[in-house]
Amino acid sequence: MVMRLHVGSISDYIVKVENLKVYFTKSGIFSKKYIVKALDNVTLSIKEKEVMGVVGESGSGKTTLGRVTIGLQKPTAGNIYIRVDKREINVNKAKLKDISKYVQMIYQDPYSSIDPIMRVYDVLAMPLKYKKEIDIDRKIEEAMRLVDLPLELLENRVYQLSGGQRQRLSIARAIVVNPKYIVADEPTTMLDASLKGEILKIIKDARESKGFSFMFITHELPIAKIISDRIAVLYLGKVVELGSSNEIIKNPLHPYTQGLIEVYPRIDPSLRDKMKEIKIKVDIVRPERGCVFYPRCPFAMPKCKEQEPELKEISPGHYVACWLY
Amino acid sequence: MLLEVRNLKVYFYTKRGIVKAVDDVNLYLDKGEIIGLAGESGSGKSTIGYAIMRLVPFPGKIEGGEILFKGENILKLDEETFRKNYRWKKIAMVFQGSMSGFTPVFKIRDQIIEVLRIHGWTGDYDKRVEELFKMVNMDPQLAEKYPHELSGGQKQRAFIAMALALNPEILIADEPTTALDVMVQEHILNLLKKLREELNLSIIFITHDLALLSEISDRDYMLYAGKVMESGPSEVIFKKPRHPYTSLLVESIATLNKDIIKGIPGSMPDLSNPPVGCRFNTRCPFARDICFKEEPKMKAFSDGDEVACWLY
Amino acid sequence: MSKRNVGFSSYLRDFLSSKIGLVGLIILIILLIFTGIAISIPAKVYASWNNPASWNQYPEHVPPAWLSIFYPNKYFTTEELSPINMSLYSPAKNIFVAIITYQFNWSKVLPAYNVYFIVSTNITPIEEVIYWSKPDGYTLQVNVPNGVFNVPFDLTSIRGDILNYISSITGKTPNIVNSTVLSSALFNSPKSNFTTTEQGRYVIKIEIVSSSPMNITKSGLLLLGNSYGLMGTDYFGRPLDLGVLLGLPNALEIGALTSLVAVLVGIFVGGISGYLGGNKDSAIQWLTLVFLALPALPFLVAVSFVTEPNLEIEALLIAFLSWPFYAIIARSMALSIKSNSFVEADKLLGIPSYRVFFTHFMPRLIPITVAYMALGVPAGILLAQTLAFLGIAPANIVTWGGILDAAETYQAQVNGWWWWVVFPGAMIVIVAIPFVLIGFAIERVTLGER
Repeated sequence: MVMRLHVGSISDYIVKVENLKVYFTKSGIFSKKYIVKALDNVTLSIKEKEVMGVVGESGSGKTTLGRVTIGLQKPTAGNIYIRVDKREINVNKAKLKDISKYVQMIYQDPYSSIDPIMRVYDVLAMPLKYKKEIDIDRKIEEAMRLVDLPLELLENRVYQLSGGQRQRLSIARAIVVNPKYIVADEPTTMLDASLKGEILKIIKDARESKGFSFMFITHELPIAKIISDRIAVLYLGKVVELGSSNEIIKNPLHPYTQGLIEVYPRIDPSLRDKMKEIKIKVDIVRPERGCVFYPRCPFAMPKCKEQEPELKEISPGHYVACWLY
Repeated sequence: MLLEVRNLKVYFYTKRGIVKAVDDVNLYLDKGEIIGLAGESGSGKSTIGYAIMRLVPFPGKIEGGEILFKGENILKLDEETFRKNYRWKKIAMVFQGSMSGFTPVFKIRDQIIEVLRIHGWTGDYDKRVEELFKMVNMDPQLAEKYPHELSGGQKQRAFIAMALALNPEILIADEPTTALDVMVQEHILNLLKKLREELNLSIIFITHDLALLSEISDRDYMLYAGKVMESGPSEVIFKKPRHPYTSLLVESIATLNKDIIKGIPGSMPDLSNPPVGCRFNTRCPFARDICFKEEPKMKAFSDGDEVACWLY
Repeated sequence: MSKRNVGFSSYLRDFLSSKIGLVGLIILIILLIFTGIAISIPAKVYASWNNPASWNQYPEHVPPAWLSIFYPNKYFTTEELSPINMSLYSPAKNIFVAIITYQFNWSKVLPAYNVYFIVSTNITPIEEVIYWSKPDGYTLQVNVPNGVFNVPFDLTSIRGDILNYISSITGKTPNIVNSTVLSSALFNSPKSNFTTTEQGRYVIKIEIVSSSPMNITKSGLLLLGNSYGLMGTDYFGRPLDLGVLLGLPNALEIGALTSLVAVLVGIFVGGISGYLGGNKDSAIQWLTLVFLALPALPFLVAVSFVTEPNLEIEALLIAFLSWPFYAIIARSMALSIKSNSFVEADKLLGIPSYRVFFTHFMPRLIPITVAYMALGVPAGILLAQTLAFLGIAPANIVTWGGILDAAETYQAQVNGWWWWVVFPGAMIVIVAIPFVLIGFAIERVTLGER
């Protein structure tokens, strides 16, 4: 049940989750209780200085995964470990106060993740002040430079900044406290296409110069490919495929991953009159048992309906959970 | 020409000043065409859609220009006539998913029937609802549900169904697929293509996501800071763009075969105080002296492309 | 990059540099200075307010004196005259006479509002006569009734003789007998049937006859003006400027204090409740609803049975019972603020809870706080009067609400005594103004220019 192969040895990882289950109980309108499985038996690890892309669509559990790894949400079952200074911290048992020294989060919506009424300077200075850091001004200057924001903006209020600038400030805020591991939850989703590239470049540069590890959550596959070293594809709370980003894109194994890649827009106006062939059924249905993807899978076999496939290593570093293999 | 927009100006009267959201825009739409209105946030593309529907929100006002529907200037009509004869009957609009056109307290079916009733449509309501749902590839059973019981994709398709209720000739789709998963997105694009085929529906597709337009539109208008920078057939826009803005935007599309994506540095100018000369001058890598002095005029090329740029 | 202070001190600096805030602060300080003055006034003055007899020698329900700037001869103030001559002699054995002479020049177009004769001797006179000589030469003789020997008396005390004089000229006695009517006999010309005032020299002699040697201990003639003070007088002649000043401490204390306390407590509790969420939130919610259900006035009446009427305690009690209203509003605001991810982000950045509350929640709660405080001030002031009306407030206090209540009772508006209503009413509003201004400034500083 527990896959050790891709978890990595103790000396290798910065974050690892084992058999993570996050279930919510929801009561329907007439108190019909049902369980929502946001994450179902996820085992994953992120190496030091690695950017792990977590790709999934709505309902995949990707946001929950990010939040659980930094202690913002408690899992229903399973273990989460963060490794800093050669020590292993059990996130479940630790207090948020202690974990927050090593982790940070970049949120999706730049308009609500930074209080617009604050001064830009205060946004970066407050966390440093409460961590009792010295040399605050220098650290702030450095962070502003890393995210390519002019120092004059420090005098402004956040509401005077554009969405793109606020998102860069969001990154600055996360890196100014010098964490080891950062969860970036769809940081480019709300930005125009012309601004996405900048954000990705900033994250790449930050990793280069400061050695942060990232979990980069997104639903846009090409963005994940550009920024990530490895990609984990999530579907309805399960990791269906895991591998290096180049591998996943060039040689997708799971039908869901294949479907995603096939359906992604290519810039070819000459194809516009034709209907795009979409092999995967549109409506998301969660089955009672068996493979989660079975109801939509074009390659479904009888076995898929009964038994849940496990993550298997097909080629070095490339794992897939599918009965086709 | 089914729809022609000439010299449209839409200004917003705010405390900061007059924001010229749409400043002298020309476009046209032929029957059975799908055109794209593309641009970054704040370029004015959505405002054009609202202007055609005469739904420009306060404090905006249509300050000039004409919108000709089959030759008749619909801006000159009084509100009552426009509402009775054009809005929703000849021209309908689908909004971004989060601004759902449905109220949560009534079933989808009832809300569509309400639309039919208000516009004096006679006939079998239930049959029409069933027809509409089949048209958008949805199980008519879903019409019995409340909006919150549907997924994002289903809600959006239901909204399209409602927009088609009175058989309009033009459908304005304002960011119809944002916030939807990629697969659902593609399904909706297929749906729009099908509607164009079967109903000869003409569609104005407004979006900031150029990738979508490359898959569906015949012609595109590239909007920036309230003005059209370039317009032409999709083949030209995507394969051989002339305007620097267009080519930078096309280059910033993230496709699976790219390893880096470039962006466009800087940000859109303040529309209450637009710059002198070409509006793109602060961000254009090819800007020259004249770009800061005079606004370039639209120039037409033989391949159907029209560009407003001093490079040409 | 300059060395900056994160947080409160930089906000304080901005606040002091905003004009609106400074103006508001200055007005507040001025009000506090006047309050200080008012508090230093001895208690017996406060007590005298509620004793109409203390104000006998003031003109009743007259407008403010500064009207004489605009209408020089129509409005005038009280003149007190000293005798120009006093002579004492004894014409015969055991008969002693004193004659006090006053003289003045009257240039106004209206008679004096009233005339007070202040005559005191060390013995009881046998007889007292007033000789009032008008500019036209006619002298009216009035006998002073012995009931008012040695006490100050006005025209109404000697109305008998004056009325006879009037009827002898006009042929009938006037229907209304007040000081104005009586005074018109003394100052106006009989030729005009006492409608036009005689200007010129008036000589008044007071002759006192007694059987023993006498000394004049007090002498004075008061020609009451038809205007008084900064704000005029009320029905009893009480100067309203004094009344307003005496009422200021109460107004600030009860009005502003109750409003301030209720709003601040309510918003703070509600804001924290929303911010904390969970069980603590539910507990505070429950408490809020309990207080909300408590009926205020019966509670106060019950309390007043137990303790002596004390305005401060009652005011605080009212404040204590009104905070739930604001708590509910603040809580829902806090909940919506909490839905922003910056709240969680700050927690993750290690910023302590209290700081998160002050940085994100408090500034957003301030606009409604200020609005309610400003609105609550007039309500609080009038509340003090309700308490008095119900008999549960101490009697010896002066309140603006009380002044306005008297104005209503004596029909000030019908009688055209606008000053009685306008000035206390304006003060109620003026007390609210600094809060509004300070609130604007705080809002501008914390939330930024929008």
